This record gives sequence, structure tokens and C-alpha cells, in this order.
Amino acid sequence: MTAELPEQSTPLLLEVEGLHVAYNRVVRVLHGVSLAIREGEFVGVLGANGAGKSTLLKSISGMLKSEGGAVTDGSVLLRGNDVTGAAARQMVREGVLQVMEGRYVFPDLTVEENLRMGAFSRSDTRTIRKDIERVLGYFPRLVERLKLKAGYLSGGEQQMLAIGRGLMARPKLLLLDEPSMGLSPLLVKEVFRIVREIRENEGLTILLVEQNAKQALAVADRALVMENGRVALEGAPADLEKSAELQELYLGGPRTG
Amino acid sequence: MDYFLGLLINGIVVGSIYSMIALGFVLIYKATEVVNFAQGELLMIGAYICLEVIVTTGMPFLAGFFTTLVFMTLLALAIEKLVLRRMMGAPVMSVVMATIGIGIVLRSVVLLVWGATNRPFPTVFPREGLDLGVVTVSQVYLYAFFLCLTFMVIFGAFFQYTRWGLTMRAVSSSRKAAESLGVPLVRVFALAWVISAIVSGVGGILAANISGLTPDLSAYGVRVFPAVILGGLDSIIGATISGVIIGVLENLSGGYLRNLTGLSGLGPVAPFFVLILILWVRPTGLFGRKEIDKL
Ligand SMILES: Nc1ncnc2c1ncn2[C@@H]1O[C@H](COP(=O)(O)OP(=O)(O)O)[C@@H](O)[C@H]1O
Ligand SMILES: [Mg+2]
Repeated sequence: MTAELPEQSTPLLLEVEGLHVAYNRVVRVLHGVSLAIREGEFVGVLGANGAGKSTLLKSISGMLKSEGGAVTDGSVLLRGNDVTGAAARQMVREGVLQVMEGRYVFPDLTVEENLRMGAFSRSDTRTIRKDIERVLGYFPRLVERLKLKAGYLSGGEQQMLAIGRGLMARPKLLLLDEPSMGLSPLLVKEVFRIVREIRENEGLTILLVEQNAKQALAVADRALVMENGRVALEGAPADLEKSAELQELYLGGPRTG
Repeated sequence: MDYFLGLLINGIVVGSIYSMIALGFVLIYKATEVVNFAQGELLMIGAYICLEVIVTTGMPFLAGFFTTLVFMTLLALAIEKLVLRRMMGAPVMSVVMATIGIGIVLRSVVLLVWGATNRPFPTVFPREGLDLGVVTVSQVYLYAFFLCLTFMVIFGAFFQYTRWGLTMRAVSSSRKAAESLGVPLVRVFALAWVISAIVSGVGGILAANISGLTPDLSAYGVRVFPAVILGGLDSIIGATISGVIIGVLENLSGGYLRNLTGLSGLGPVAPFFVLILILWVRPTGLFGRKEIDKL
């Protein structure tokens, strides 16, 4: 294995072992996915549309069940504890939070209310005000829009709000699903710059799903490539960039979307 | 002029009761995406319970009133837990049928226990007229109006300023986002049913105070329907304003059409005409955003 774990000494945070997932009991989507993430790591997951990347995140965050999916085999361990099939409610409390693909903000709530909802599962409600300030530090664009309904934000701002709202939960493991989807190249750059900044300041562990391989490889410590519900490649960004297969698949042609 | 003002004030009072029932309706729809066709039966049973408690135990009205609210809370929790939670993810049409079924069950219970005859509500609020200068209004109307107003303000503040109010608005804005933040959806659905049943119960008690109590009181559920559609199924403020509009419309048209045609009972029909006109021009209602599914 070419993977170089930068912090070999830090303990394992998440272990996914031989995960099989199916929707509606019949549509098999994951066929034995395994991965392990150490505390503080930034891992990228690349792969084409339909490879099963979002499904992998949902089976970790507990968002699978409400979409009719279920783990049929394998397990998810968080700090060694079995959390396979746990509900999102429990996972959020355990510090695992997914920022869903497609910018699921609350369109009828103001930006501020969206951020406050991010802290829903926290018991220390006194520090929420302070945390809003802290989160806004990463997203200065949102400051003057605090009283605006999130539905009126631009796509990039909604993506920033979705990430900021996730931070309000103070997660240990942040699962980011395609933050670059549908954004202009300039905004993609900005979002990735902010994600890197967050990572550096918050000491978070991040699992990032992206189709934009270039950006993902630039920020991640380590990356996997998924194909048809399996992990096809795994390694350090530098090695993956050299890999002919990946070149051909994702880095060669002009990117759309 | 006095005739007009009388009709207008009547309309506003009845309309405020409609508003409250419409609020209950919209609340369930917004939070759970269920159109509750048992809303009228909920308010009817609330009125019967209140009457029964007052008459058989001799409790003062206020005690009966709060006992009823407790009962409505338990009933809503039971309905949510025993029927709707099991139907999560079922097709919309099946859920609609289930609420119609709940309505039929409640109605049958009322017929079995209390029969179909009109039962006068004991005089709770004084009925003497109060001279407002331009027009004289029965005091029971004023009490009803201010009670409605109070409840609406309380719930408005609840939605705007409390954590659970915010959470309910969040769930109705995006269920998936709420779930991903750890919101227990089931608890929010139950809360929506409870609040809805409480406002319906209050509406039922007030309506029975004004017009006496028969199982026909459940017709209020149908009569607020234009208010709900007019306001937009998903708009709480819309439902509130529309409730009053429908009440006024019903009273004015009822009053004047009777003079014009000699037929009584035309009042409740008029709002439906207006409803059809409005849906023709604005399919989402006056305040709503979502297009109403053509079932
Ligand atoms: N809720 C669902 N119900 C049924 N099939 C689904 C559902 N979500 C995703 N799938 C299917 O699972 C496969 C993988 O989807 P997904 O995990 O979203 O891939 P990716 O995120 O890599 O694009 C696709 O074929 C998709 O059609
Ligand atoms: Mg995806």
C-alpha cells in the first residue's frame, strides 16, 4: 500500500470494515468498502457519479435509513465502538456530522437561525453566540446576510452556510459531500481555501467526497478512488496524481459541473 | 350600516375561530406533510369532552377547559403514535385515507356516547350585548375573539422565540437538513399534532359556546378548508388572515344573499366560490409557495 499516514501515532477514529449497503433491500450499492481514518486526518474520496461515495458517507452519518438504505453486511466502528446502523441523532451526539450533497440549508429560516439549528444537539447552549461569531470568521460573506432567509442566498453562500451550520455542532469528524458541486471555478477555490483553513484551526478530522479530483487531491492527506461500490485505488495525493488510471478518468479531460 | 357592522363583527369573530382551526391544520401539514382530514372531528370531540367534564363533574369552566386541553394532548399523541408513525413513508393518498378514517372513528364515538341531538352549552360567557358605540355585540363573541387572539399570540411567540419553535420551522423547511443535525423528527411530528389538537380543542369549545353542540360541529373542519387553501397550505400567517377573511365573507354573503334571494344557508357556500376563483388565478393560494397537489 502506498498510503502514507502522516500521523501514524494518533489513534484510529473511524473504521469501516467490509461494508455492504443496499437501497430498498434490492439495489446493492456498496460491495465491501473498507477504510480507516486516524484522528486529525483529512481523507478524500474520489470517484465518478454513482460510484457510491454519498452512500458511504450516509452509512457513516446515519442518514441512510431515511432514504430507504441499510447496511447488509460489514461494520462501522467509531473509536472502536460499533455504531453500524446508528441513527443520525446518535452520530451527531458522538461528534459525526455530514454536510449533505446539494446544499441542504433551511431556505425559510434566516442565516442566523440556520446556524443556531446547527447547535441543536449540543448541551452547552451558552456558548452558541460565541460559536456563531467564530464560524462567521470563516465565512465573512454571511455576516451582512445574517437576517436574510437562506433561500435568497447564492449557491456559493448556501454551501458556505451548510458547512458553517455543520461546524456549529462542534463535530469531531466532519463528512463533506461534494462542496464544489455546481459552483463556479472561482467559488470552488474559495470554498476549498476555507475548508483548509477550518481544518487547520479546528483540529477536525475530515472525510471529503469530491468529483473535483484536482481540488480534493490538493487538500487531502490521503485519498481513495471508488468505482462501482468498491475502493479501486488508495494512496497519497502525489501518487494518485501520477496514476495513469486516475489521470485518464478524472484529471485528463475538461471538467464540467 | 348597523346591519353591515353587525355582520362584519360576527364574521371577524367566527373568522378568528376559523383562523385557529386553520392554524392547526397548516401546522400538521407544514411539519409532517400530512393533510389532516380529521381536523373538524378533533374540534368536535374537544367541545364534547369539555361539556361532559363540566356537566358530570360540575367543575368550573376553566378547569374543564384545561382538562380538555390535557385530553386533546393525549389524543394527539395516541393518533400520532398508533396511526401516523406506522405510516411514515406510505403514499400520500394512504395517509389521507387514514386521517379520514380517524375522523370517522371520532365521529362514531361521539354519536355512540352522546347521540346526535343538540346539546346546549352551559352559559359560560355572558350573552348580554355590549354597546360599542356604533354597534352592540354579544359578550360571548368578544370573549371568543380575545381568547383566539391570545392563543395565536402565544403560539406565534412560541414559533418565533423558542428552541422547539425554531426546530419545528426548521423541520418544515427541510426535513432532511434537520435530520442531519440530529433533530428527532418523530418528536417534532408529535409536537405538531399536539399543538394542532390543542388549538382545535379551543376552537371547538368556543364554537360550541356560540352555536351549541351537535356532531355537526365537525363541519367547521370543512368550512375552514377555504381558509387553508386561500392562505396556502404551507403558510401559518396566511391561514390566520384567511380565516378572518372567510368568516367575514361567509357572514356578509349569508346576510345579504338571504335578503336578496330569500334563501338562508347560502353563507357557507360563498367562500367556496371565492376559493375556486382564487385557485384559478393563483394555484398556490394567496400566501403559499408550494403548488397544491391535484389529488
Ligand atoms: N435513495 C436511493 N434509493 C435508491 N438508490 C439510490 C439512492 N441513493 C443512491 N442510489 C443509487 O446508489 C448508487 C450510488 O449512489 P451515490 O452513493 O449517490 O453515488 P455518488 O455519490 O458516488 O454519486 C447510484 O446508482 C444511485 O442511483
Ligand atoms: Mg454523491
